[in-house]
Amino acid sequence: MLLLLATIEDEVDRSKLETIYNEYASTMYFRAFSILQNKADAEDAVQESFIKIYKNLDKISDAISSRTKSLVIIIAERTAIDFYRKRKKLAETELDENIPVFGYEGVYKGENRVIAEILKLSPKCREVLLLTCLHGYTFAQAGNLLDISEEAAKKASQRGKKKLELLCRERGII
Amino acid sequence: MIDEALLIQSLAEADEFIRSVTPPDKNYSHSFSVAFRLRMRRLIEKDKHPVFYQVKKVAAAIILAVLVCGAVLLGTNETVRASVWGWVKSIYEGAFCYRGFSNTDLDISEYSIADILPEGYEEYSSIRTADMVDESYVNSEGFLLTFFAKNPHDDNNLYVYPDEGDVTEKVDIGIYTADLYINSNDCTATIVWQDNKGVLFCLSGHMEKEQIKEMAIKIIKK
Repeated sequence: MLLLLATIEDEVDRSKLETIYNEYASTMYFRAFSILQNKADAEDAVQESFIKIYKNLDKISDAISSRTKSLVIIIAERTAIDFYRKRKKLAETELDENIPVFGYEGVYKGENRVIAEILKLSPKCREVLLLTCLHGYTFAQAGNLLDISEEAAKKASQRGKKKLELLCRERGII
Repeated sequence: MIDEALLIQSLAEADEFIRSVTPPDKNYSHSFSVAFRLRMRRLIEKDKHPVFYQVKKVAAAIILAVLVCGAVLLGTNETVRASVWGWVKSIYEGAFCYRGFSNTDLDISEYSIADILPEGYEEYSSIRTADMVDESYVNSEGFLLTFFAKNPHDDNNLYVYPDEGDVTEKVDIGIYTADLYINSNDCTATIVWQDNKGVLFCLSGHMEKEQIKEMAIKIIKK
């Protein structure tokens, strides 16, 4: 049973979380389902993702924005991968390397070769790089959002940059 | 190391690509299950309302409802209802919502179940103001017993979210009729009633039907 005694608000005045839910829940489900391939698990992952979003609402300035969409996709992806890992009881490193559906590398058909290499990075490295280098989150904040430690976020960032450089050199991009 | 400017530029484009393919169809919309929507509604309500009353999750099921004193009159006549203190029940997104109407400055801070506790319970938390009492007790097995009393106010809602396995019935407790919610899966019970001054009472814990009724009657007698 859940009991909640609360003040009444204007029903039109949707909360930030509700706006994000209305706008991005299906998007998050799409990403979670692409990893978990199971409706019930994907819904559970989306719910868990929203709990993380709820805990980090102060880090979201605009409920509807490309930055927020990016963030919720990342959180849904990370949560789904964690679910998958728990389900299979496998180490994440194995999963990152062996399960192509976690990434986007097969989907990208553009000509920008650096993007193609970014999409080949492990999900965790890509997620941390996007959150810290692109969206300006600190390692601690990225760690909170991804449910990993600050140290793990730092390492993922370093590993991601190194791997990306290596891939780019191998392809003669840089 | 890869050039920072090139990295950021490429990340921005990769990010844009990811957003564009998640999902690939702009009109994609998933139809979520009822259970999912209910769980999300709980979370959204928790965020939406700056809660001054703590959220409690008693170890399992049950639900609650409320008896509105003079329910027929209050429920059918807006004018009469506005002139009386009390709570009105409605259903909102799968939850029972009890909305307080009118205000009262009645001091209810003296209400307590401290002296009628079942054996083995000790105080866990206690919040006491002139218009609200919120007490929790816990026993050695970790079972919570919670009690609250609340004056009606125009800006107050009580939300009650049902769980699976809840069974509801109306019971008489002294001069009042209460709604009793029992979950046999985990032996929890919740009872809710309103007294003739418009004060809403809710008692919930790990106990049998007769035991919780007995406690409610003791509260009324006090």
